[in-house]
Amino acid sequence: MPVTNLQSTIDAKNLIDYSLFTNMDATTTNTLVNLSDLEASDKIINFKLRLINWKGYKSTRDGVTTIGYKSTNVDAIAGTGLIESAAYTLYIEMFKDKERIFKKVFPLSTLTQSQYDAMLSLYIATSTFSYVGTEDRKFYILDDIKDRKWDHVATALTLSGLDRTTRQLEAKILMLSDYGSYKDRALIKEQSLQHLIKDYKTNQLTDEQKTQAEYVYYAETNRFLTNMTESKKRLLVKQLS
Amino acid sequence: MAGIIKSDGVRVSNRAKQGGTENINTLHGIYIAEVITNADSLYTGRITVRIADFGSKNTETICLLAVPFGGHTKISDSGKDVTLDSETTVSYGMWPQPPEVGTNVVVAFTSTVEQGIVIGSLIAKDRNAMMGGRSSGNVYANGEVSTGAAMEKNPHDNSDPDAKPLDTHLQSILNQQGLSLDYVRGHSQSSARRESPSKVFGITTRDGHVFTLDDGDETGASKNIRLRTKDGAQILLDDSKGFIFVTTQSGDAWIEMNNEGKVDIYSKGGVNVHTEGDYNVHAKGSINMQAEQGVNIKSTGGDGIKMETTVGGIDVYSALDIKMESAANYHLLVAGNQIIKGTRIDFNGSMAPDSATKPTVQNQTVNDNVLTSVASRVPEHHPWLGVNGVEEKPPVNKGRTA
Repeated sequence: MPVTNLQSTIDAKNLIDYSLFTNMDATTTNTLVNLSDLEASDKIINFKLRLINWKGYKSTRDGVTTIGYKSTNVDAIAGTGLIESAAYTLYIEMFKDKERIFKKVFPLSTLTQSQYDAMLSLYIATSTFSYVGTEDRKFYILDDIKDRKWDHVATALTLSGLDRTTRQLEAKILMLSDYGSYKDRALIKEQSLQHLIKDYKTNQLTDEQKTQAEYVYYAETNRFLTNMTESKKRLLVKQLS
Repeated sequence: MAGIIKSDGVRVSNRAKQGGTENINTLHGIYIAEVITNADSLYTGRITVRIADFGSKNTETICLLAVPFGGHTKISDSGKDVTLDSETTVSYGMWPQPPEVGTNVVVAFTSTVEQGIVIGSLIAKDRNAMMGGRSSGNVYANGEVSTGAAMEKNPHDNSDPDAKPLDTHLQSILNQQGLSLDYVRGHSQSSARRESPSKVFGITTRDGHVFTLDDGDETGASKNIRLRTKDGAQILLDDSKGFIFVTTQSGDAWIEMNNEGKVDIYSKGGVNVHTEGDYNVHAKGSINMQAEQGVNIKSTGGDGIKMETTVGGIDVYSALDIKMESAANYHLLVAGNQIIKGTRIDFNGSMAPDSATKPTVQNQTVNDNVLTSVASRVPEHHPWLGVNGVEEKPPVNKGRTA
């Protein structure tokens, strides 16, 4: 009876053959461009946004408090709530800051657009491109990046046990320019507002979160959340007039 | 008895000699003891207890743990090849968590073995409200008493007779799941202190996992079987209201089947279905589908796509252009009149019609079988790389102990 253990290296046994899949855009997958001339594509920004999802009020997860598109901006967190367009602006500022750093520290001088997008996405999420995976199973990918063994890098991303779904999607971008379905920001906003209504109703928000949710909902829809007091309604109208 | 214990490798060091008469344990009988230590270097669940009846000297003694049932196959039947599953023993049975330090336990001593045996725990007065099923109840919250997930009553609390501290962990989960006002799916009503004699049979772990079989209260409510983890993942089979409910910790995915025959499924992250055979949906009512982003349908088989109505018509409305394209011929056959009306109708005019946009395929790079699909996610037979929750720390447990 064969027994195998999880391995932390990429070799012929676990290497994914990406030639079996459909390349969605040969140009962005194959055309090398100077790193200094590359910029994040709209597709990768949309990819990030739709994975994060906008939230108009602050929330805390794993000890980190964020607002909007997972912004840690203290002023925004302490503010009245963050409407989608303001959250987008904050996110892009953060994104571009990280992109500038990425360009300085990335070890190759040329990349294709899809390689650039995937590596940038990884870097923004993890602040490293040296390794991926959990503490128990790390894949060290820096040498593969330097050697342009992109199928090894993509396989490591796919096998990564940490934030696995996102890493697997980045692997598809890296090898196949497959960015998934574009999701309009208007739809992201609409669906997030639906969740906001549910969160507000089900008693799981603090008073501060509720106040931010009330503000954002009114600012985005010109409607009040149900069960708001008249004084709160008047205050909101005054704030936004 | 003593011989069996010894043959299992458990050190029963000495025959009892307290009475001075060789091999006779004059202290045999049942005693009440207090748990001093519940860690055991042998991993057999031995418990160190203090027995007041033994006097002030040498009052701490290590006792064996008795479980309601369990055992192992005969040691003498094991073979010489230590690598073969067929030549070793098999253990099975119920394995409990040891009683906490400070718990009163019942210890039995036989007439021939010095080592005592813990045969059960004693329930302390007013210390079993969380037993049975970690029931909710009156809790202190926001400066008042209201209904919520409850801890054990603080022994120093002499005010409200029933109010307990709020179980903030479970309450936050119920809030997240949207079940904070649901006294069936959310709050458990199964407590050892709900009625007497109790109708509740339950197992709860120290940290908060729950398995309850509740015969219901006097009004017939809470007749259910509940299996819930500390963090809120749950399977509930409820006879009182007639449904089966399954939820994840976050409440972002749940399934409910009720006695009216309805099946409700909610998923925040997406529902992904893959069958190697047919996927059949037959409704005696209507089939209603709506997507807030788009609808993609693709057939890759020779049967193509067929639509038919046997009574009503087919209506297609598009807010924007309708584009139809065929790689072969276009046939339009009507039994009655063919009516076409437009601001301008071009037949082979100078303006070429736009091509139809095909559904976008998505690569399934975590798959071995289905490599592309219009579906964004296609689960496969395991091992499937697409699963998100993975544990990469290998399991460890002790073999031989010193």
